[in-house]
Amino acid sequence: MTTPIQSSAADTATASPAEWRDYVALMKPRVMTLVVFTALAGYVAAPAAINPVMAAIAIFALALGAGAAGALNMAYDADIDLRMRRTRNRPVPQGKVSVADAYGFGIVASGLAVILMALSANYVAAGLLAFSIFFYAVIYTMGLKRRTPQNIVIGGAAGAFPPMIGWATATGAVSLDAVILFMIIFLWTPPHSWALALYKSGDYADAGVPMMPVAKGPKRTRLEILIYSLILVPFAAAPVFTGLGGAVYGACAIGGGALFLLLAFRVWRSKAGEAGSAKDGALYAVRAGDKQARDLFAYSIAYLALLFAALIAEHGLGAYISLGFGA
Amino acid sequence: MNETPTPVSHSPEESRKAFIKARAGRNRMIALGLVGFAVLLFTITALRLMQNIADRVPG
Repeated sequence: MTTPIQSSAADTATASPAEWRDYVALMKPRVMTLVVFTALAGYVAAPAAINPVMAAIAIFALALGAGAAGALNMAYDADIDLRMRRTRNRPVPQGKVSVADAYGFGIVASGLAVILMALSANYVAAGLLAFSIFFYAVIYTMGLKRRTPQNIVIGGAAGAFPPMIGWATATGAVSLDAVILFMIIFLWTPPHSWALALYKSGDYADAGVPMMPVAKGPKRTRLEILIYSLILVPFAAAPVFTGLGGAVYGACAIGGGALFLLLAFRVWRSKAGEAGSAKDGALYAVRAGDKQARDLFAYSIAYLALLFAALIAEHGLGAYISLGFGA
Repeated sequence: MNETPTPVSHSPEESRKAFIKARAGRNRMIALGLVGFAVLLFTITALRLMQNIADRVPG
C-alpha cells in the first residue's frame, strides 16, 4: 500500500500559473460526458418526467458533481499520478494547481452540485448524488484504490450511480429498473478497467497501485475478465424482461453482448499483460500480446454506449417496440 | 523524460505578467460562474412559482 504524499512538487514550485482550463481539466471532462449520457438514459427511460428546464439543470448538477469528484480524486492521487505516464500531465502533478486548491475546488463544487440537484429535482436525487461523490472520493479513492485488487469491483459502483440518479430525478424514487441500470454499469466496470490495466500494468506497478494484474498476475486477471463478462452479458438483457427495454435494446444487448463475450474469450486465451506495459513510444501503444486487451477495452466503451443509446432511442425517440414482457 | 514538473524559466517581469493574465482569466470564469449560478437559482425559483400557481386549487 502506498502512503499518499500530500506535499508534492505542486505545493512548492508552481511550473506555470493555473488557467481556468486547468480547473476544467481537474474535472475529467471525458468522464463527465459519460456520466451525463448514462444519466440522461436513466431520466429518459423513467416512466415520469419533470419540467425539461429543471431536468436540464439537474443533469448539469450531476455533471458538476461528477467533475467535483474527479477533482477530489486528482487532489488525493497527485503523488501516484506523478508516477504514471497516463496521468503525469494532469494539472496537480504538473504543478499548475496545488493540492489544496484542488481539494477546495472539489469540495465547493460538490456542495453547489448537491444544492442545485435538490432545488431543481428532489432530495432523493440530491442524496444519491451526494453519496456517489462521497463513495468515489472517500471510499474508492482514499479507501480502496491503494489497498486491494478488488478496488475497481467495489469502487466501480461510483460510476454506476448516474442512471439511477437520472431515474430519481424524473420519478423522485428508485425502482427495480433503476437498480438494473446501476447493476449493468457495476458489472461492466471490472472487465473494462482490467482490460486497460492489463496493458498498462507497468504504469500501475510503478505507482504501487494494486490493480489486479499487478497483485494477482495477468493470467488471473484474464480469467476474472471472462467471468465478469459471462455475468454481465446475460444480465444486460434483464431490461427486456422487465419491459424497460424493447426490441431495439434487446437486439443491441444480444448482438453487442455476443461480441463482448468473443473479445473477452480472446483476452482469456491470449498472453495479454505477460510482457508488462508498453513504456516506450506512444502512450497507448500496445505490445503484440496485449492487442486483445486493447480491443476489449475500446469495445467495452462502445458496448456500454450502445446499450444506453438504445434506451434513449426507445424512450426518447419513440423507437420502443414491446416484446411482451413487463407491465 | 522529466519525472517532475520543472519550473518554467522566465524573467521576473514575464512571470508577473503571466501570473496576472492567468489570475484575470480565472477571475473572469469565477465571475461567470457566480452569475450563472444566480441565473440558475432564479430560473428554478421562477419555474417552481409557476408550477405552484398552476397546482393551486381554484376558489
